[in-house]
Amino acid sequence: MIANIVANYLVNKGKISVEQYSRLFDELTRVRAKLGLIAVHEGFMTEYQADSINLLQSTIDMRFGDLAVEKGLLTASQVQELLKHQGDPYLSLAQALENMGIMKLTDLDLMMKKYQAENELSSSNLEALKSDEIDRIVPLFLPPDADDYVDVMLLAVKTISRCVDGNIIPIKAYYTDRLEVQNGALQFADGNPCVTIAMCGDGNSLLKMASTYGREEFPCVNMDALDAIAELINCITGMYATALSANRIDMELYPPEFDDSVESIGGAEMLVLPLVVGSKSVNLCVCLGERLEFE
Amino acid sequence: MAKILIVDDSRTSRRMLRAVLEEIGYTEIEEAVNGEDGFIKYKEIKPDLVTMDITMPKLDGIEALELIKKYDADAKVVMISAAGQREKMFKAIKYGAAEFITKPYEKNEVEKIVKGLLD
Repeated sequence: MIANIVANYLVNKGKISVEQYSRLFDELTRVRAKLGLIAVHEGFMTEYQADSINLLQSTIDMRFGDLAVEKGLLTASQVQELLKHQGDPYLSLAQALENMGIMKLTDLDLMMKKYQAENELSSSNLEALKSDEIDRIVPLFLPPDADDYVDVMLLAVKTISRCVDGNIIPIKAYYTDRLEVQNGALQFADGNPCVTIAMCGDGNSLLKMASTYGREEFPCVNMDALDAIAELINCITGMYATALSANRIDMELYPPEFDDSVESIGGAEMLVLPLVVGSKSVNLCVCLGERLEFE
Repeated sequence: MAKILIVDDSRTSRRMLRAVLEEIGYTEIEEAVNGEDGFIKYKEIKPDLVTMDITMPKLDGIEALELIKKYDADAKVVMISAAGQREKMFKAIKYGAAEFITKPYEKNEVEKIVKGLLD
């Protein structure tokens, strides 16, 4: 996630071109690999075993290494060994930029200082960003008074990252009671507190998300595509409800709703986390305590 | 060949489950788009197994399960849930659900449960 956030920033600042942005991610695949891939490479597990853990990750909110240990496919010490191979994410990005002849680490550090200032990040915030840990990064993009929203937002972003696109970019979240959108899907779950989770967009901005999750090439964001978005939300809401059930809070999930022709989503104050998915901007909207509706 | 009825209001979910079932060798598959439709189709085609989504409009999965089990006490109904629906699962057990599958579908889990009930 650090690579996407920083690379997107560098494009916006004119430091790298869109073409270089694309090539950067090819380069990054060479300088930093996923744990499953390294595990296969090191002979610790078969490709089938690694795929099965990846698949399992779409239903369980756990890291690859933790799941592999739980399933008896890796030992904790093997995971530690594999992690060392992955290298530091920020340095991997720096190495990729340097390999491509775009900038040196010192130049990148300067750009990061500008990013830090523009986004009002503390030093510890910047370290959190550089850690590339989604659990530490997502809260950086939420308002300071959004503690109640952290869990559900994090779960949603992690699920989208796992099941749709690992290269999503979060943008600063904000509160509003009405958001102009053209299409989307939402699900309400009754409980204490109740929650509405929605994904909304304009035009075809939700297309990549729908096609990837639905495993179907939709021609545009039509009702079938939104049905796929609704199913994705259903999984997120289900996992959120599962997490709450550990505290004996029972949620009643209502059927997801979706519409390909709306003017807005609203009805109560919601937290909107804009996400860049496949170069398109979409909105993850969450409301705790009230029901949101399309208007 | 066993006949399977998929009851789910989500087209995406029906497609995904159909693909998994076909991959593990079940090709006689019918679909219903809600609980009411599911009960009607159950009486028409007498499937060997029903997969029933819990959260649906009109007649939800629990209500449809209850109707099907009243009509045919031997019906094998596998409940499909997006997790986190503890109360509904308890109800489904009470009404005679044979098994549970959690979305999104994982081939090994579906295969184990469906084959376990049909073979």
